[in-house]
Amino acid sequence: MIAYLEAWIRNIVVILLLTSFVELLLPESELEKYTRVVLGLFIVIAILNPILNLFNNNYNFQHITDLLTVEEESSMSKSEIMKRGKKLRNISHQEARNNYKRQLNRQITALLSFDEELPERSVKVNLDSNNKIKKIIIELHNKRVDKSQFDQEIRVDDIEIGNETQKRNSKSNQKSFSKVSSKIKKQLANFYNLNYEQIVVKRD
Amino acid sequence: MEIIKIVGLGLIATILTILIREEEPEIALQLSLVVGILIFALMLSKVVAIIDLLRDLALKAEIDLVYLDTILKVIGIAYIAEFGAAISRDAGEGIIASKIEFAGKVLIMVLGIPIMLAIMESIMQLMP
Repeated sequence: MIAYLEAWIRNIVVILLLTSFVELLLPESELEKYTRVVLGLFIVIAILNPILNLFNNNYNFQHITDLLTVEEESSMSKSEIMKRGKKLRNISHQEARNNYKRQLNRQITALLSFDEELPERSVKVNLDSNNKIKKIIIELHNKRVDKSQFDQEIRVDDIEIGNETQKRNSKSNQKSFSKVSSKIKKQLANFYNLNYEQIVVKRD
Repeated sequence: MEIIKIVGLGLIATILTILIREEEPEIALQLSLVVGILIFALMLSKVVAIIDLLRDLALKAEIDLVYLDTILKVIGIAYIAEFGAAISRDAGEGIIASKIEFAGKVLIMVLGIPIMLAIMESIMQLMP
């Protein structure tokens, strides 16, 4: 209780000192009266605060602070400005990220296009939160795999469309796919300094 | 000695304005405006020191800085309104000067109203 009173009295003294100091700063004009009233209100708050706390324990004087911050136009607009700035930064960040993704995409496509044996493909790049390459997903389009790769290696009977042919076809497909995919993986991993797991080669 | 500098500036400006006023009152007004701003700018670094001190005191007393900001805003409004009103009055425009002061009063009241409302509400809560 004594400590409580001590804090209260100390607070009042400091606030009185502060306001009297501030009053010295005030310009002498008709406005003086008005500023004095506002300063007086602060002293009232300082005196009233502990009494209110004493009478009802759950009383929270914080809401005056809230009131002040909400009602004030300028501080509202300041937070608004901050919010907008954050949003804008996010947008530009996203923009840069997308741009980087696009560029990477183009680069990978260009890289892979050196190898004429590779089938037609589409490239997708995943970035992590630090804008580093997380995963590169390369989708090979099946049709071209068949045409360019297989026809040279294994002759498939095109005329017969039976179960057996399909099976064989898919088997050989599998084999060459793994070959192609390891080739792509090696190339990209070397170029971007990535792990093999970070590069995924898929078929559609 | 900073005060000598400032008083010297003020005196020179005063003499110049008196000399000029007869022939070109507009330029005299501009001169006094510029000197007023100049003196204020010279004092600005000192004002910053005072505000820092106030902040320190407020932090020590564990007063919310929102209160201090409001106080500083009130002082700022008072000063700026004063400055504008004095210049208008100097130029012989008493009506504009009084309107500037009126605006200053209203703005200070607007800053004070939330505090007053909060105090009223708290006192009402005290009553059973």
